[in-house]
Amino acid sequence: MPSHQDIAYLSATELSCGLNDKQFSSVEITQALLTRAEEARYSKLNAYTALCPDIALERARASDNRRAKGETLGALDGIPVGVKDLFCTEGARSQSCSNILKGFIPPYESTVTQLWRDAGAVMLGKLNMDEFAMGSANIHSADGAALNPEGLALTPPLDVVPGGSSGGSAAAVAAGLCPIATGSDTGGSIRQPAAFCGITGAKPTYGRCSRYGMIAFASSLDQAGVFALDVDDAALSLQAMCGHDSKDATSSPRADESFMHYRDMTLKGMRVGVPKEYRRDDMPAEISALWDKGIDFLKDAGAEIVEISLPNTEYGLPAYYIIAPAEAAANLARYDGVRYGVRSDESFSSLDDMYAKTRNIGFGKEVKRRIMIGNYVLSSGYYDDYYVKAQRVRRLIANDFTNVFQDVDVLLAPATPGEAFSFNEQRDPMMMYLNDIFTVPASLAGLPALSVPAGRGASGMPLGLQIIAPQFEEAHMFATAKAIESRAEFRLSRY
Amino acid sequence: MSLEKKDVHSIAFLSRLSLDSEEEAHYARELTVIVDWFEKLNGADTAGIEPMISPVEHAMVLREDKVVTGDLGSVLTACAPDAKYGYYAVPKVME
Repeated sequence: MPSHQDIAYLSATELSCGLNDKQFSSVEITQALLTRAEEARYSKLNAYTALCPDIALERARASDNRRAKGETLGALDGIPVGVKDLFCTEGARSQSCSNILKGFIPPYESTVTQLWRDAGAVMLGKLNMDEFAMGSANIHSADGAALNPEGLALTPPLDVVPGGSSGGSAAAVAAGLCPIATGSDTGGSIRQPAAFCGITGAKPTYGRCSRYGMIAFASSLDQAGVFALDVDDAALSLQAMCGHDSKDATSSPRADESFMHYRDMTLKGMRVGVPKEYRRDDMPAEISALWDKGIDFLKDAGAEIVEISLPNTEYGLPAYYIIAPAEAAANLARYDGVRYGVRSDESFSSLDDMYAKTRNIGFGKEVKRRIMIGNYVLSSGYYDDYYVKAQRVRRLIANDFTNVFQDVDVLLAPATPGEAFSFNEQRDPMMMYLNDIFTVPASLAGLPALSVPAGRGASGMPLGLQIIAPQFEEAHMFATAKAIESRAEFRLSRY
Repeated sequence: MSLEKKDVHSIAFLSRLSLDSEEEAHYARELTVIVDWFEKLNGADTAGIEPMISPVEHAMVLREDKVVTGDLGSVLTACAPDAKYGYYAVPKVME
């Protein structure tokens, strides 16, 4: 019977080999990781909002039975996984870490988590996040903030944010609580926490993963994705959650295409674009140095480095913070105390009064802020100047990428403007939005993008590099990430 | 462009949020900073550029008009804060 220390930080691929070699069973590794998650040292990370031992052990037993009969489903069969709280998981709380959905237990499963379930993955529990995926530090959660295990592993230990919105997912994988986890990325909510926590985080082309059963934030931007301990695990777990879904009208007809041929690709002759507009004057020296190191890694792998221009880069962040809140204002209008979640227990003078009182107690400050921004930019008199203007700018940004991808195969850029910051550092909303500066453009264009850990900053926290590929070219993205990973030799502190 | 408390009051009504006076003042300050920042987009030349709704270019997908999920009434009303006789229960709407 392995202890959790024996198996924490084994990748999903390594665990799969161990299961096949009968070194341990799925029930044993599931129990070990549940035990680890409950220990004070790890529960204080607040990565999990809820553990689901009954569901987990039932699925682990089913996996062991399949394996005993020679009916193993594949690489994910029997592998313990974490699931971000915004994925509807049948019979297990799914609240998008909001009070307004307190007590909501969905009677159905999201397509993405169903695909992992069908592959035999064992859900350990639901993971912390910024409320309704709005945030970059996992400090806006109704379940309390999450902490970065890499910060606690420093000497002296520091309370550092894990990033957001998928902070709990990143913290869980970086703390060895599960080898892979689902996340979602709307403006950087996988790539940024992956970079902050020293792990790989990947977002697919918009339309690869079904959004059915994902509690929506911004429908033209939201995409499911993965966190993993290495690039190979990220690729295989992402592939397992991709696929066309007739229940999602934005699901692409190309969603079933495989990208696993990345393993056979060479970087020799691959053209890697370096966007000059991302090399900002206010960029910390360590981020610039990391980026240069990444360029050297790829040259060493045989790639040709090409300076390219994305001229509309500076408009990406304001355009995003118009479009995403506008879509959120529409998506969150459904939370009104009628069909699910909570209802205020005050007395009401009218239905509108019930809606307002429920939404007042149900939503946190950041969510209220974004709903109001959204309704403002959509309101009469402002709609054209803000919302439509932002949509036109969105097309300019998408066109910039289309243009450069005539000439290069992938882009290399920083993932974040700096290391993960201290939990206690006071940051106003605008400062927090600037965290997304490098990740938002790829989201607006619907491109696949990932963050791979490549170094550490001055205070010892991890730093990540971002790779962006053309639509449906995840293979180029993962091949490039492998080349960086093998040369960077980044090691987690293993808290 | 400076947002006043009364502007926040209107936006809050559209958002079905009811804020107290102090909250209205607080959000007026925060939203002013954010909305001022949006003016940056005026520097982008978007003449003749079509708005981009979504990265997905394919046309609306249709399916056969056929019931596939069956009777889920009781399953769905079980999620509600208040439900009676197979309906969602809410405060009286009409006098």
